[in-house]
Amino acid sequence: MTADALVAAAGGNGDEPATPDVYEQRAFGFWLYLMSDAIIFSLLFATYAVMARNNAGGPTGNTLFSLPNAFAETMLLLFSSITFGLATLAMKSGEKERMLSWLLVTFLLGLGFVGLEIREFHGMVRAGAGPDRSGFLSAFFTLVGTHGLHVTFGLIWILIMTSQVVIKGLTVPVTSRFLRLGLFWHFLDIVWIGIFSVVYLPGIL
Amino acid sequence: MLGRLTIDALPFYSAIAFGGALVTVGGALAVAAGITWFGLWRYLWNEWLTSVDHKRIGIMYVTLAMIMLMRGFVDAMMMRTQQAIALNSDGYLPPEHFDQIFSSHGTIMIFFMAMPFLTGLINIVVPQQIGARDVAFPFMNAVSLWLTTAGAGLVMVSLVIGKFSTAGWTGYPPFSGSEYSPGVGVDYWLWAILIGGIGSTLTGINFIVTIFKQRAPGMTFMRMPLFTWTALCTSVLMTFAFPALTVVCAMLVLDRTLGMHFFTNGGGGNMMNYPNLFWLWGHPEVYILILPAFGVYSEVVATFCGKRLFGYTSLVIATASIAILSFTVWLHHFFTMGASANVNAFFGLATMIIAVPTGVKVFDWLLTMFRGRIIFHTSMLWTLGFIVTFVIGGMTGVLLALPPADYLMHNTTFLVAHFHNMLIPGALFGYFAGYMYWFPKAFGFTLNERWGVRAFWFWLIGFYLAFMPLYALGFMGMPRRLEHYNIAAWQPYLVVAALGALMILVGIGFLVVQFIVSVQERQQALDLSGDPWNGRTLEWLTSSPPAPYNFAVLPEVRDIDAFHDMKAGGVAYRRPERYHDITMPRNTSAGLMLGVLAGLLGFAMIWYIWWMAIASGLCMWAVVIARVYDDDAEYVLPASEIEEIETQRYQALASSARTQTAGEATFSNQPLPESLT
Amino acid sequence: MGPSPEDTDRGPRSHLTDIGRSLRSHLADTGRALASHLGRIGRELPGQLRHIGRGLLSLLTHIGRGLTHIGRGLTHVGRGLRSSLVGANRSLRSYLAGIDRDLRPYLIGFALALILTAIPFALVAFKPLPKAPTLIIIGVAAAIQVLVHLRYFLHLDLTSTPRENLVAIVFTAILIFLMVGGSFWIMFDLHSRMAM
Repeated sequence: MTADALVAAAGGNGDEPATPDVYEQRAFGFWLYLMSDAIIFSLLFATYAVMARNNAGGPTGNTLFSLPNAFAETMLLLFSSITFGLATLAMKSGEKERMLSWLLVTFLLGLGFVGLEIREFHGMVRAGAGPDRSGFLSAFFTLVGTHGLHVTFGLIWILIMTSQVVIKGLTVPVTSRFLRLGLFWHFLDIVWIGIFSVVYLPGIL
Repeated sequence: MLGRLTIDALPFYSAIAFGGALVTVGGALAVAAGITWFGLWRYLWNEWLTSVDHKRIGIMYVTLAMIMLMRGFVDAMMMRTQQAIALNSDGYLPPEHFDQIFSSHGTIMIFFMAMPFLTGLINIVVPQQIGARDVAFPFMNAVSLWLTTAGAGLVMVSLVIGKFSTAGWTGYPPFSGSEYSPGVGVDYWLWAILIGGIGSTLTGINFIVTIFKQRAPGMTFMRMPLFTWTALCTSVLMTFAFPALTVVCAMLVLDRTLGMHFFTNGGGGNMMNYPNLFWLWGHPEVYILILPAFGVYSEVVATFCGKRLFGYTSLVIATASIAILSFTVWLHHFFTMGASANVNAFFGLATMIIAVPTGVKVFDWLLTMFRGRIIFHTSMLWTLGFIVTFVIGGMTGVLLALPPADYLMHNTTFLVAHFHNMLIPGALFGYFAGYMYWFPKAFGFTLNERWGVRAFWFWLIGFYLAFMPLYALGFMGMPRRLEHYNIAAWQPYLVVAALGALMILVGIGFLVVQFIVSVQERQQALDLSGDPWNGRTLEWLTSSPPAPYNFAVLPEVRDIDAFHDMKAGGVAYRRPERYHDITMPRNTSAGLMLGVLAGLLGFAMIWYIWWMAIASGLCMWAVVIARVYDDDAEYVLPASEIEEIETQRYQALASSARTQTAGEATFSNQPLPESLT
Repeated sequence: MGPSPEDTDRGPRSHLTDIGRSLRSHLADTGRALASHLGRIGRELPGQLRHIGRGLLSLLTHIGRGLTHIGRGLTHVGRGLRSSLVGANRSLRSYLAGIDRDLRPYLIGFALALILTAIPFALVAFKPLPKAPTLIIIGVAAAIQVLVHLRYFLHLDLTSTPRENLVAIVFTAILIFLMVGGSFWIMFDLHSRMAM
């Protein structure tokens, strides 16, 4: 019996890889990284929930959070998810210019989000409600700030992506990297759903 | 300019501290001088420091582990001698220094000895065992290595500049907060494990993808060797548990550096959340430490009993159960923090349940040995020593799992004895067994057996002498981490413990001697065939040491114990008609640079040198972005070169006189009939 | 007085007008009845009581009839809504069919996400419900929106996504449940014991 026949007789299986596809591996690896990031965020959420009442006699979410601001940030991020999707579709049909345009819009929307958040934080610190004021505020700034930091890294990544598309064109490494950026960007929008549902809305109520 | 770093940071305040700094600096200088003397810098740079080859990276990990084992053991010796003499006296170590020592001992042994050791073994072996050419992300593999090294470096630097933490290896607030530990010690601890922890998370991701996606054709999950299975479960634990450590350490950094109130006494802090988050990481961590050792034992037992492992499926299920259950028991580390009976009972039950799969594994190993012809290679000795001693420690663990009992024994030396009983005979013996088992594969010659056996006996007897008295002392009420005491009844036990530590010191010495003797006598101990033990798994198919690409032709797998199956079928060493070009990842200094920069970032954050922190952070970004733009990350190894390498390999194979070990082929050494396995 | 029950489907607006008319006419009837009865009370006391009784009875009867008409009107509304939705669905499908098949998930996801965002924000902005149900609805909407994002933006489904990715996310979800759930149980248990 030849080796091939033996393998076939053993029942060729669905879970044995043929040739390792590098891009599939990168996508799976990045997905795993996102899962570990999800654990980080969920523990930050858990800490926030445990400390939400620990305002040490200081300001509470009720006085600090602004519903319109939170809504604006939510819309900015949601719209940026859509525009990113539109950029992805443009990329898939090979339309470089349209992709870059939508990517630019995504960048601006994300920048707007980060801008609003920085303004919010700045205002809170100036009003004496910085992260060192109470446990509640420490948890708030860390949770929301970590998310904002991730978005900032995403913005930098968008810039890198833009330059790569311009310089190298829509090669396979570039497009696969772009798809990973998409995973990252949508993941951040999902985390934001958690943030406005757990932090802002209950805090204002 | 230099933050809070002043000349006072240098250890001129204490002779012992000065001595430690001298040894550290002297050691580093001696190594540098030696490399310069032998003209090896270029070789080191090209072949090792910039390598992305998993085999080289693995060897560097194990080297780091061995060096840190020495440092961690010096800490242990210092503690044992202090406690042996400090009855109604101050001993020779002031309390603050003693506290630094037990803190660094735990931190080093767990993060910078055990983790690198197991990661190194996994790195060297797993890609070969699954018939792959490298891990899924070779560059990220190098980054992990250098981040871990950066963390270890920070701990070593703390011996020379500044002090280390006095808050134990667990760093509980509020003592570890800025109010009660205002110095740099806790910051050293935090940044060392934060940076090292990122390295481990990346390793976990790397090996999950590798094992999922790079197995040779025909190797289904249920045909993987047990060491690969344990490596997979370990990688899952690394990926999903280390985020908890990152979160909790980051919060403590924020508390200390930016004055936040996560764990402070006032201001709305909740210090009880710290043990909760810390042990959410900490418990899976101890399973990260033990599972690869279990994997080594499985391989060693199968090979040196000449039999297929008994109960392969049950071993796999047990390993996976341990991995999942490890996320359900973490509260048993703080039963006494004051949760209600229901909470304590749940976690106590879960802790008892998790002991069951380990018991299953022990029975499987014993049943593998049953009716086998055991070859008492040193690796087998480590395994037998493990089985007996680890079971004792496991039983004390089940005892501690009862919350009412734990209330009496928490933070006594009983607990110290228990976890050392798990870690030394459990994890460390496994790593030693793996080190001796796979040494020829990594270096091309076997280790000297005689010195190995001596090292084993001194380690085993030394362990019993050092830790069994601690069980008794725990029952007698002695707390852990005591710098001096006034109960005379304790001293005899502590003297015996110190003698045990001395024996272990001799054991370590013998390991060093073994290495030196083996290097000197290597020509007589060459492993020409690549298969010195008549192994069963695919790593023994490659040459020793393997070619950079491991396998010129990827093997096709038909069964468990793939290599044994190939040898039995006579297809193990067939040469292909022609070779093909192989694409290999290029060496790069980017991994090393990221490690160095991470170390500088940590140092800057510790000493509040903000310009340096920002600069190193930006430089790290620059390195990463430069890597993203690097289009030249691979090179093609032409088929002609591969053919040359393979021809040499087959010549060595032909000239190898691999004698059959006695009794290998006799009837009594055949596996049990199928109906009984 | 009101619209006949055999009225054919003329769309929601006409039904609303019918209801309005029906309501108005019955309110007018009721008002008139009340006024005349009150007038008689002023004239004849003994007979007033009888008349009041009779008046109340007819008042109730009118209200009853009015409610019946409202009920029938609502049924018409219901039927109208259903057929409107059917019609809307058909036209939406034909609209979507005209759209690029790849764009569809993004549009559907976008619409759903907007709704699932608007509801919680509106509940907090206008506070029509007490706190506990509001929080529950916020939570449920968030959970559903996360699934919407996963399905329509990340294209996660049970057929086309590689199995290991699904295993990873299910495993992560289980772990998050254990870690966060366990932490909550522990920390709130400790909290309650501290407060004793």
